[in-house]
Amino acid sequence: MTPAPFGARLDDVVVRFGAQRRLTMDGTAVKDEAGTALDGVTLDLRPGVITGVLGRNGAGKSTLLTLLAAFNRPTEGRVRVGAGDLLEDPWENPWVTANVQLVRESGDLMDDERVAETLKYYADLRPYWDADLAARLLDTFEVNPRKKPTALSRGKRSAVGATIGLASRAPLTILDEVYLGMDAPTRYAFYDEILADYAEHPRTILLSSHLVEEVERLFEDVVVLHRGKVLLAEPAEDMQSRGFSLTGPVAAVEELARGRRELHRQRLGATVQVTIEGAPDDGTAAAARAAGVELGSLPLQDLFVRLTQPEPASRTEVRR
Amino acid sequence: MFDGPEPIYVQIAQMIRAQVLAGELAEEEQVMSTTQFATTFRINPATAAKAFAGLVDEGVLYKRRGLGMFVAPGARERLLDQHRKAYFDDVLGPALAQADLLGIPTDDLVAYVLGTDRRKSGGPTTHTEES
Amino acid sequence: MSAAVVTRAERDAFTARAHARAVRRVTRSVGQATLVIGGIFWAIFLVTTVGVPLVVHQAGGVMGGGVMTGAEYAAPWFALSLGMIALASLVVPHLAAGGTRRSLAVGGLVAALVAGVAYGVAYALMLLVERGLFGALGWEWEQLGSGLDAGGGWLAVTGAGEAISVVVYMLVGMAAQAAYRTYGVWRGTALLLPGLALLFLVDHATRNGAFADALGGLGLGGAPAPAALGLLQAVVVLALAVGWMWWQVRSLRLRPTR
Repeated sequence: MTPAPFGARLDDVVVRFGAQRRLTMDGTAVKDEAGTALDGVTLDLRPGVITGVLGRNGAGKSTLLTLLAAFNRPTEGRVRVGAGDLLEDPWENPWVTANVQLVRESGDLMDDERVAETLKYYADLRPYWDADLAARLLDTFEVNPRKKPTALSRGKRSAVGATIGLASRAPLTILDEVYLGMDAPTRYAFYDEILADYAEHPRTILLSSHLVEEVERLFEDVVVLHRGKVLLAEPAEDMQSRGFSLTGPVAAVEELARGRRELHRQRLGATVQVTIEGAPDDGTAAAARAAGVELGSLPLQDLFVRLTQPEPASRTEVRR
Repeated sequence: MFDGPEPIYVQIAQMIRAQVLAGELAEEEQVMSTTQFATTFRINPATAAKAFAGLVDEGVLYKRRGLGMFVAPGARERLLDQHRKAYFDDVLGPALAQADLLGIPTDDLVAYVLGTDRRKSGGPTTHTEES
Repeated sequence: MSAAVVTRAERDAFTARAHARAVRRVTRSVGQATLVIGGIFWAIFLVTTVGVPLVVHQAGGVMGGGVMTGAEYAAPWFALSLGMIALASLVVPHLAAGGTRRSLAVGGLVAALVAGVAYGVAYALMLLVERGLFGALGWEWEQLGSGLDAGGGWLAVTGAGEAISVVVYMLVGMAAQAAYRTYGVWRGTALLLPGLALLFLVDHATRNGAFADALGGLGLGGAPAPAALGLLQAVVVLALAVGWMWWQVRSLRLRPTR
């Protein structure tokens, strides 16, 4: 039984939090400040597509994702999640919650039980749970299911979260910075597993990350959040074509880059890489070749950094 | 891999066309599936699918239901043909215009071409260029 | 269901199945904890209830009151902690696994009711065991338990009172945990008060338990009431406790972990 992938629609969503004191997982007392996490978000998330959700820390990514899984409700505005005609409010609605799997960095595991017990819980509740896949993934990530979360490293806990995210086969699967704490080989294994399973069992996948370079090619659509608002929401291809890079000897690159809007500059000895806004025309390509300058793709990271920089006017003075 | 400024699906298509032209991909040979492409290069399967769709439209690939993507018969010829036409328009034409600009006589050009042919077939070189 | 259009009927059937699955799982998880750990709790009590008098008798002494004196405190408070702990460990995985707050509340309630019945019966049995033992040892056994006037049916009334107390305490524990989770330390503590009021009320209704004794000590204890009235009041308090737990669980909010 293959369920239809789920999409989502948000209209003018605002989420405000009051101040709160609470205990974190480590037992430390923390004060959360009051604030507006999402400040008027209107967004369409396409079903069946891998969408990247990018933004700096505190941009509102996690808050947005918790709304889709009904962990929270918006203070204002509407959230609708579903497939076809059946796009509904997630709150207390099994049609949405049983079809949406949100995985967060902590893995949201039962602290005092073995990993295997938590997985059994998910297996009991998740309608499309694939136990074989779960077992294979735990093996791939080298996690012993007989251990408790406290006995696992941060990376292994995240790997369990990743396992749950993939094995639940939910029509909307949301992976919120799950890779934090994973080392590079584990992360790459994770990306490979996502792609392989996505190709075989199409579903909607939202990947939130700030390791943009690693994940940008996995995305079909991209959403960039900044300070609780949507900065950009477009196909990855379109975002890619917003700029290009020139890499080569400083003088040659400067010549080619003259008069064009620069997004980013990086110097490595005698070589410099400059990211330029806009598309390269044929002349640029030929000139670059002639001057021994490499014409490359737009690193999404550079665009992302540039887009989320504060405006010059509001930048505070740098203390000397 | 795929570091150029063009969209990735364009670069994939270019790569496959190049492989067909160079003979690395023979006619009726199976191409990697979108899934394999995606996992090998760590890109979204839809990107690979878009490249394939374009190549199918061009007649370079065709789809065998249930089996996958294969190089179409005559694909290499078709690509060679395209490149040949393009050669005259994009390469030779401008080169000849340039020669004209430099005042190089047509005879010299012909002799060069013939000489090149001889060199290729291993014959003695002909010194026809005037310094 | 292929990746095609889902009908309204399919959607409703899916939702009903998902809800039922979730309720079953919560009931099983909480139920297992209350019965397994409760089993150990009552086993310890059994051993002490039987063991202590035997040891005393062996030493040539006589016990004025049994171990079960004051035991009526223990089970409800134990249930309160179980309610807190069970909910604490379940809340996040339950919601993360796609369960609703409603299924969490329903499952918790069913488990609490089962616990109530089980502990009430266990309590009544213990009293019987102790009475029998004292009789066999030739000691006087004072009929303890509730201050409700029940005549010959005292055992059933005491058991029922205990059962209702256990359920109320457990629900209050669950509600308290949910409130702390949603509102944090300050408001969470403030929200203990309605819960404490419910504990107070159920103790008063059953003329049993910590709060009833405290009132008695202050001279404010209620006069022995007819059993039917007391139990009826207790059931009303139970209904309030269900509402209170329901409200707090349904209001659960998970804040982002970072």
